[in-house]
Amino acid sequence: MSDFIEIENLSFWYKAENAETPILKDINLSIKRGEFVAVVGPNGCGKSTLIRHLNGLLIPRRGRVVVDGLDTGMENNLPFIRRKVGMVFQNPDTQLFASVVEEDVAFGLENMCLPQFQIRDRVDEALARVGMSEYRDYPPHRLSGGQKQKAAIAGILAMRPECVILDEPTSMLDPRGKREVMEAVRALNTCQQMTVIYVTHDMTEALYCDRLVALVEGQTVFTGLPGEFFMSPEHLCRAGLRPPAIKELVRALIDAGIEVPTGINSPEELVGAICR
Amino acid sequence: MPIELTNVSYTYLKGTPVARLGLRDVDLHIGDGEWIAVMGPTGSGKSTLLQHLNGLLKPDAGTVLIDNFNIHASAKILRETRQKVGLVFQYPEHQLFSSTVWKEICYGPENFGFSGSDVETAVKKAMETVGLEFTRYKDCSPTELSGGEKRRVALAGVLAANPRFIVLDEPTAGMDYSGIQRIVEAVRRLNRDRGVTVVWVTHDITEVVDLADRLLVLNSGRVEAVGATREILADPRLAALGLDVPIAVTVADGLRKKGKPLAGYPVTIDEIKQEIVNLLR
Repeated sequence: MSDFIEIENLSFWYKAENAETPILKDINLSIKRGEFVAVVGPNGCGKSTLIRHLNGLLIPRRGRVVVDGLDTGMENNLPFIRRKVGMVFQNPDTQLFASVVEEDVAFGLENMCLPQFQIRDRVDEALARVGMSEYRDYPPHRLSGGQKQKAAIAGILAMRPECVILDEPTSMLDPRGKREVMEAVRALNTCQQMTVIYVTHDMTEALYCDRLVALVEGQTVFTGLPGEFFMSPEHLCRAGLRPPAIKELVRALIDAGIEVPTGINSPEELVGAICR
Repeated sequence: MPIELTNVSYTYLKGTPVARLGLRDVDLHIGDGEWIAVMGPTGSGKSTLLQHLNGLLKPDAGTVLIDNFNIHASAKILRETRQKVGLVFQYPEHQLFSSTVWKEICYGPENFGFSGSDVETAVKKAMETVGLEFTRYKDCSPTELSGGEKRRVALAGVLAANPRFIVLDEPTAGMDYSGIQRIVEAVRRLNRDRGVTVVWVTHDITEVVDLADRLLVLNSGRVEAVGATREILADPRLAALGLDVPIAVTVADGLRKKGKPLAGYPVTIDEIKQEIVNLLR
């Protein structure tokens, strides 16, 4: 796998007078094509600011971000970068505006001035990819939170991006909605090789990524396997995060002298290991 | 009973083609100083229930009594109810509107007619409860605070009116671990030290599993289950509704199905750890 996104010495501050206390400090990170990267960290650590650099919504004050060979600092590159990297936000209610789902999904394509028959094909395909085909004629307000969020993802997929960034897409959803969205996103990555960058506060969701990036006060404090991060009290403490409940339990059992594999990621696996 | 809902039903946009059921035949009694947690899927009526507790919604049928008064009996009682019952909405930080933290938190007590010195005492006490240092934060603009701080300002704004009951609609949604801890701790202090009654809506019961005396589960506007938190959590109907149960419950359930004898019904990580340790020794 080659590097799709390269972040080099990225620093950022919003106002010039705050240049001494940047929101992002000297971040270096590369993301490979097809990778599923989770970004975690406390409120205000710079997660949202970081990902807004990845499709040129924000431009580095120092350092640079290169997406598939295109520097986000060069304005001529931005339309190309934004087609490659789509973004889904936290609140499903602020992202949908058309009167029926398929119109919403078609919005970006109409702006690209594609012929009608191509729009039709792409909308159908995008809805199918998130399992929303049967809701094509629904008004968005009749959908559940999870369905709304999947419709928003379909709107991005219709543009055929190479990478999708999701900024806490499940934090306003109920547990069922969370699972629906998470499953759809994982399928995009595993079955369709989409590059996914996923910001979340839900550590159970972060368990399923290929690589986890933890930010604290604008700096990366960990980049690596989620299993390694969640089993290390030192890393967790540094990032001020609590591990997923399953990892907390596995850790507690090991500390109590019970032999269970550290790689356990679900209650079912744990029950299996205990009953063996 | 301090809070008594009898046969409460409510329909949104009643009598129109888009009428939607909010609550149906809800009976609920809440005692003084109790902490009751509320769970349920989206659209199950959680927020509708909360809005009945301080009279923002008026039931189509049934009654809501607070301290034995029907809250809709007169404008005076309704006004008193609004002061007694503090309601913290979902994402309350979206509703901050004043230019300073001080003005924001004063708004409630001033409107409820507190005198000047009482306002100051109330604001200071509320800020202390939520862990915002008075001198450091009072002149800050809410816009320059972090998400977690903003939410605590909003919570302090409700607490400053000195309510006896506080009802919170997903008060920890979208917060990080330390933010959740701070909110839980503030409400725990109110409940334990000052006997404030708490109604706490959540999708993640683990955050208050040790604190909530009872758990109410709503489904399609009806009461699906209500009882001691531990007992309700052990009920398989919860998972069937798509709700998240604590990992201790899932693991204990799995072990029992494999024929492993467990002594109790664990709900915390510590309890299930102890069960497993006992099982394997």
